Amino acid sequence: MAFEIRKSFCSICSRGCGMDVWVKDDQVIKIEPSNFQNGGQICVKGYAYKDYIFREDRIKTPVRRVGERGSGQWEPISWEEAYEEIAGKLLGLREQYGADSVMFYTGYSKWYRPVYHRFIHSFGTLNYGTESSTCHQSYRMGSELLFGTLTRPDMANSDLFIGWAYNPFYNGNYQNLSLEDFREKGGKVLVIDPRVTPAAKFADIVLRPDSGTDGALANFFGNYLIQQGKTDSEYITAYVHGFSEYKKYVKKFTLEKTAQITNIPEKQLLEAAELIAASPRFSVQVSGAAIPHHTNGMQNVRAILALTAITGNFDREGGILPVEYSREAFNTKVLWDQFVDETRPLSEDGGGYQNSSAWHHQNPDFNWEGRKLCRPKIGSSRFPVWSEIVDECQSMDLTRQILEETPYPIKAVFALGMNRRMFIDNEKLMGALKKLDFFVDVDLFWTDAAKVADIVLPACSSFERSELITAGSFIRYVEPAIKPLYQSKSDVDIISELAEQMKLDDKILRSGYEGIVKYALRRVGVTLDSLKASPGPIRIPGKMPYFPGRNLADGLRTPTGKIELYSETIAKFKESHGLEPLPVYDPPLKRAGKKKYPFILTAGGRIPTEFHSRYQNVKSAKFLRPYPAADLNPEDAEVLGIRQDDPIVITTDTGSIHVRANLTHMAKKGIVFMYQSYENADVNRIIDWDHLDPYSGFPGYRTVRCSIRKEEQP
Amino acid sequence: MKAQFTFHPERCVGCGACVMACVDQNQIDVDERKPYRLLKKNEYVEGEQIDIVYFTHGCMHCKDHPCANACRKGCFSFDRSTGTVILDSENCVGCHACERACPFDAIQFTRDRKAAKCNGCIQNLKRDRLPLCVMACPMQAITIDEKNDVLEAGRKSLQKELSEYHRRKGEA
Repeated sequence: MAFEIRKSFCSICSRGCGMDVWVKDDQVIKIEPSNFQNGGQICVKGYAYKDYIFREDRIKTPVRRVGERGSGQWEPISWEEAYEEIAGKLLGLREQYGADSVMFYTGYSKWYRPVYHRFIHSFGTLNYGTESSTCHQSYRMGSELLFGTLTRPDMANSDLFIGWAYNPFYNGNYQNLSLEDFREKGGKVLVIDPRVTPAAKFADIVLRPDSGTDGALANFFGNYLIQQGKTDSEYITAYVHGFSEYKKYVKKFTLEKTAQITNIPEKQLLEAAELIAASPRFSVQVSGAAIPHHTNGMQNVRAILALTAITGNFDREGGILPVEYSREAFNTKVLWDQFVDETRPLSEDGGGYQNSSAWHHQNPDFNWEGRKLCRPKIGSSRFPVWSEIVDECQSMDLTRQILEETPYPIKAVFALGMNRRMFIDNEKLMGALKKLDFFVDVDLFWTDAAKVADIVLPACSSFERSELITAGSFIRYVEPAIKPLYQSKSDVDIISELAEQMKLDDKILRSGYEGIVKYALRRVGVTLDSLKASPGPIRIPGKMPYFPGRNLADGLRTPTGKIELYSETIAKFKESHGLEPLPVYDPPLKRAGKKKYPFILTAGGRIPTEFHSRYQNVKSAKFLRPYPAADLNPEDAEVLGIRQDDPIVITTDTGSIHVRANLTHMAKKGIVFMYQSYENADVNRIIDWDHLDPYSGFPGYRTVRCSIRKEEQP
Repeated sequence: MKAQFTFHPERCVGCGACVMACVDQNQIDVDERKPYRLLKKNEYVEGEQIDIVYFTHGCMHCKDHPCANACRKGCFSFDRSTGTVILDSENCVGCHACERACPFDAIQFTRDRKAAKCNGCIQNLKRDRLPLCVMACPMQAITIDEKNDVLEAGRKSLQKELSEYHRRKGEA
């Protein structure tokens, strides 16, 4: 009769907030925050997690398609039958067409990715693609091209914090308080976002540029700082590559021109520029989604981060700090370090990620002898900068490669959580999936993609499995709060058991999750048994705190070892692909169509109760926002004769969706904001499939020309 | 711990964590009844200046409990140790008197036409733990156990936002 409180965690986003799960008879009754991770706080999504786990559309058993693709006719099969059929098909295709004829995809989550990635290498291909083809990785590219590492703001020691598309109140609640402490100590805050989010409450200055004009704004600031003599010339001489070219280029971002491009009044531009110039130490946080989600997104990231290079604010206290360090002692002993490399095949063209300077630093001991060769990963020729910086294929080129069969045909897709709604123009993706010889989807829920698969396997949630979690210098092993629902299994068990069935030449992978974890822990100095016995996280032994300036002194992981305002990596593709080594600003909107499509559609801006499309069919979460609605500025609405909750039609050159109007001053005039998760109003479906950033391959979700009209009631 | 709630609209960021925490803790089926705490906002515009004020409201467990005073069926009782105002709607006839008396729009009528409201997570208060909405708020916009002046100031600004909300809704 009594409740038992078990320690578990949320797996909706990747923060893994701790949860006290109240369990009775192996049923989840309710959830309370647990202080074991992320400061004892759960967000609105976390409180709806129970209903997420018990969604009615959970997949219950492995099934095999019996009717036509998409006909909804299935037969339940055993796990053994499923593994046998999948192993047979994949090994057969590898035999006949090569390992690269299979593309391995994963949507959310992220926890199993190193294991999955190694599985794919052991299978013999580099065609490992993830939903990070549309999230975060473009930001990583911008940061790595400049500094050879990801970066983080050292806000606590800054004079000024710039939050560029920064809204911690809809995601990652636990960061909120640092912003408040910072202001109390006299720190200034500049928030830049076309939407008025709650972060605006905590800002000294708010700028509202038009979507996707961030690069122009950043280059204006760069120009202003140079003109005002507010750069750090000693730092530039010692550490920066390409400053004179940069200086010359940003000259054209005058006050007048920038006001015109960004649609920000000149007075506000000057106020913000003066604030930056008056702040010797400033840090900047760049959203990994909002800024990259334009066809000029990666370059906009570089333009923003470049401001820290010219003012000596990279790798300096109070500026932005590296996340990957030049010396082993500073790095958290990474569990998965080299784990995916141990079975890595090599790209037969010699290009791709293993050609990048960052990778050579990461794994100097890599044994090149006797490696299998494979064809260049998907997207390599179309997005060469992505291909070199990111150790994944660019999944946004998958649809094209399946349909056009160039440079080689893709015969099968094996996916953990294929979510069509992350893809633009996704009717085309669905068509491409139907064309495959073989498609397996593993998921918790019956998504649209699962419905067109040949075999569907049920995965389980974080409450139903174990996980080795690292957070900073701490490590923890969490065991299941409840048994897996129905016949579901953890993704790693599925990968490992499939590897066993396929008899892949990889004993570690075939040894199951605990075997894999023990192997990963072998150099960390903590055993699995001690983790299991510990009531809380264990500190990883031997990690030293980082001293700012060390990376700069040791030389950065860029081709020149310096901060590259002029990127030598991009320069390799200047001729062949017309890419620009400087943080050049290109307009984010297609040139044509302004008359027919006078509004800017910004798809995917977060709302508190959604994460990707995980809260579809969760009625409690839908209570706060019951139906698909677009945020529209009230002045725009008045001109169009649209009132609150009116049905409206949003049309692009690719298609239309029917939603309701939500009138709010959060939305800037001329921009309409639409969240992307809805089954019957999928905004990403109406974005042209060529609307991609040529550097990162990211879709330009957030700058699409559209028209809006009130839907006439029958 | 005493169940004297207050609310600070200037701190609220409209994330909805308190609303969903209430749903989860009380195992509310949102088709049958609303959460006992609801989220609203007012948008104030002055030229370029846009101020969006979010707030959530629910039972404040007022010491003077106008709801209980209005009820003629004796549905309300009080828990002395926690100061919680408890509603047992078994005898409720659906007259809506308590709803009209409540300054915080905290009383709803469920599908069976009976009054319902927050019980202050009394099970937690008795163990000296916070009610879930208070625990859930990342901004400490919902607080309990405040000094009188803080408590009253918070309630006043919440009432101001609520009446502004209704005024605008009436206009629209």
